[in-house]
Amino acid sequence: MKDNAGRPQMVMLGIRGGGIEVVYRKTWLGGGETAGFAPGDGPAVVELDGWRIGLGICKDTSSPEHIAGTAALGVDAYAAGLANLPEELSEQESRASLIAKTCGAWVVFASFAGPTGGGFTESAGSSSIWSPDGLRVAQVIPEIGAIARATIGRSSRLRRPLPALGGCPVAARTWPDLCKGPLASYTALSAMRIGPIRFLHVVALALGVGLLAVLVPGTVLASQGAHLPHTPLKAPKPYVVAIDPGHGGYDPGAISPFNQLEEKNVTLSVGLDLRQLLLAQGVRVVMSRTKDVYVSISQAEAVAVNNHANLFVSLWVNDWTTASLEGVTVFTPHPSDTAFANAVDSAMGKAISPYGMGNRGVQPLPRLWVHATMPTLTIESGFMSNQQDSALLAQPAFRQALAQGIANGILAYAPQIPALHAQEIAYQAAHAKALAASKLAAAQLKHRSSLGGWMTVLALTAVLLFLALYKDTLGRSLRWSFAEARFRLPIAARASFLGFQRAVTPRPQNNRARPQRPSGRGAPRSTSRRAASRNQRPQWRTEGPGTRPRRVAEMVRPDERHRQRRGQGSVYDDLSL
Amino acid sequence: MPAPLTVAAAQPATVAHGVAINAAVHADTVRAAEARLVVFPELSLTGYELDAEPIALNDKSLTPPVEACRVTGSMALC
Repeated sequence: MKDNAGRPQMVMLGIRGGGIEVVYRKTWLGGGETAGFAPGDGPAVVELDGWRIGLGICKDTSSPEHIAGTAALGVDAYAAGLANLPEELSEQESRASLIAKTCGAWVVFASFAGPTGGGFTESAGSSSIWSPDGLRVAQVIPEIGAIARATIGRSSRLRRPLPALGGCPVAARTWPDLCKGPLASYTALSAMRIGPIRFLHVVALALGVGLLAVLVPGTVLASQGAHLPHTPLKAPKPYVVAIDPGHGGYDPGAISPFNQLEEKNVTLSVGLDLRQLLLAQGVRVVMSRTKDVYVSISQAEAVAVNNHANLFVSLWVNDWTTASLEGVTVFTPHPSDTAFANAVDSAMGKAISPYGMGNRGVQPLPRLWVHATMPTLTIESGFMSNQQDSALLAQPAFRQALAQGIANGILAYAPQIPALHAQEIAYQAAHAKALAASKLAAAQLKHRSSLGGWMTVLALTAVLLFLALYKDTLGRSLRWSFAEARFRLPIAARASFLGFQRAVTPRPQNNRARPQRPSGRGAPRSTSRRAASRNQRPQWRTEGPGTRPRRVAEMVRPDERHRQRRGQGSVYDDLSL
Repeated sequence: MPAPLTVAAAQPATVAHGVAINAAVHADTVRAAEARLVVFPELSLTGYELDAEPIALNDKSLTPPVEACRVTGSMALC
């Protein structure tokens, strides 16, 4: 065809209803075409049964401007005639898918098969039909004469592109290998079709990856923090002294006939004084009683044993029928306790000597505290039956001196007490320090854990957002894989078979005769059988030479007519084969 | 969405510069395709021969496909 200026143009003819018209003029010309042809004036639409069908010819399909311009016309389908080399098949498929998705339209690609001019000794063929979400619904093998056929517009999968959310760099909107056209004139509409989806995907991906990058080290930190610095120190074993103030409660013990002093009160007073003195030395003290209550011998003994006391001191006041007997006495249940008894007796005697009380020394008493497992003493601090002793025992200062004497004796017998006390103090300090560090670490761990929890929530949100945004893409990829398998496998099998057949068949010298060869193939079918089978066929159907209808198989007939009309031999004789 | 449309993409045999032959093949292909819309490859009437003579719309060679489309109710894009 020629344009108004008389220059030839490459056009697409629309033939229907007995008429013929030019429906589209190729705008994006290929390399060899620019010299001889004038470009058309851009995208065009033809209407058919309410369908708006965008049109294109070959290189147009690679032009972002053409695609965007066609999309802007609001098309339901897109039809293009192509001529591509066999190695350009994947490019052809990419373009079809991209146009389908960009325009939200079905795509019908009719692609030259067999040899033709312009350097196409072989061409790609593989005409195909694509759904608006970029899925191939029909495709034929590269062989001449095949027809790809589908009924379009029934798919519930039809999904229009997302609406525009704003611009993004032009480069991000285009299929990389299709960016051959002038990007500067790329319209906003194409950005609307392609841009926002990709832009959001990139944002979601960046968000997800970024949060994971933060989360993973955060988790590692938190897990490190989980090891609390526990106290490496072992608490030193304390030195334990059990004190048993005798009598108590309803049992007053001996009562002084001179001043009515009750033994239970004297023993409790001395015991409490002794406790204070020992505690000051760092000794751990357990007492059978600290109040005016009755404690039996076995109970007192159990207190000492159960508390693992190192020493046991039981306090009493003697009483005797003879008033002249006076002075302190130390009794031991076991001979092995003599050293302890001597130490206490000596110190006690020294402490009370200023008060004039005598010291009756250490005596065995193998019937009291016989079950005690530690060095045990029974201290009889004077006689209630003696007037002077009673008077002294009534004096708090004397009782204090008595307690001091006993304490001195204990310290003399167990010189390790000050060292143990120092260890205890050091331990307490270190323990407090470790405890503080532990609390600090726990607080930090809590902080990190909460931080990690938030990070997890954020990361999960990001992942969900990512999945939500990629839902279509992921679903499409899956469907795509199935569609690929569905179309590629039979096509590949058929192509291999044809290749094998071609290899074993003697090859004609000139390729130009080849277009006629497939016309002899294909199983002829009766029209009625074909009509019956069509009612059962699935919605999408690939038609190759094997299923090619009889009439295509007979397409040699026009040549025959031509030959007969011209009264010459076969037309192929004219082609200087 | 308009009513479903049966479409076909054809890749028929072509003869270089053989517009009449090619047009006849197109006509047969239109009949065989049994589709409302039949799309043909680039320059399918002449073959991809860039030095082919431009075709006039009233070229008598185009009669077979025009007639085929009229009879079958198809639209051909070629």
